[in-house]
Amino acid sequence: MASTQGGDPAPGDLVIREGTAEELDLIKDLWLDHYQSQKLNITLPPDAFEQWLVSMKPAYGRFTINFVAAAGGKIVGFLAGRVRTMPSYFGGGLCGYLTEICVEPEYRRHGVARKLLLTSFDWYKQHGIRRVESSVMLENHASQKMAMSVGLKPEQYLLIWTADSPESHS
Amino acid sequence: MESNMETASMEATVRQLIKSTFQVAEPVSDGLLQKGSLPSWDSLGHMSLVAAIEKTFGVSFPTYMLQDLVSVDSIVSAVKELRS
Repeated sequence: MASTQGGDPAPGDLVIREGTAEELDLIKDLWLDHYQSQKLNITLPPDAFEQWLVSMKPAYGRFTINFVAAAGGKIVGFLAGRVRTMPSYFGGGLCGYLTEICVEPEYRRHGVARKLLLTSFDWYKQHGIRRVESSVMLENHASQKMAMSVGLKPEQYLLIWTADSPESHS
Repeated sequence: MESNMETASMEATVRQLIKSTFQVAEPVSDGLLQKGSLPSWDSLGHMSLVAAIEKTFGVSFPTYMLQDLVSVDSIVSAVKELRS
């Protein structure tokens, strides 16, 4: 989920607001930095961000959403979220899913990610969504602490099997 | 009431939306154009398809309908129901 370690005091003109589909194009560097710092065991394709845009834009405002932190006319952080259906055996309702939260290093540790999360929760509530999920890297204790401070609770571990794991062979 | 011709046109449009949303290039049967048959038709991709259908047909699906939009036939039926 979030990259939240950092930096110098954030300026007073910081604004948290709902983004636009067009503004998705402006967050490429933040998005790439987010995934490069995550240490996921996944190699991003060269057009990863462009593919992500393709997955976000068609349903923007209906089933995908982006909130931005802006300061001095520049986007310094963002949160991207989605809506998906739960399986019918779980009731088939809608579930929110926070896919990325990233803040520029110099704006971290000043509550920006926290404000982005709280703003997104309002959006989900307004859209009748009562459950929002997210994932966070195990070693990212700062993000875990911040997320739990706004009401997210750990429910399960995400376990990943890879074919090259030495323990995976019988 | 929708005529058979209108239904056929809707089915063709839905087929095209499914193919473009999930990047299906080759001709495939309706049996393959359904949730569970296309790897990219997952829970997130499903919502992209729903948004495309809503935009194309000018409808808005209520939540209870979303999980039933799993094939060309079910999508066309749901659109017809909302338009009736």
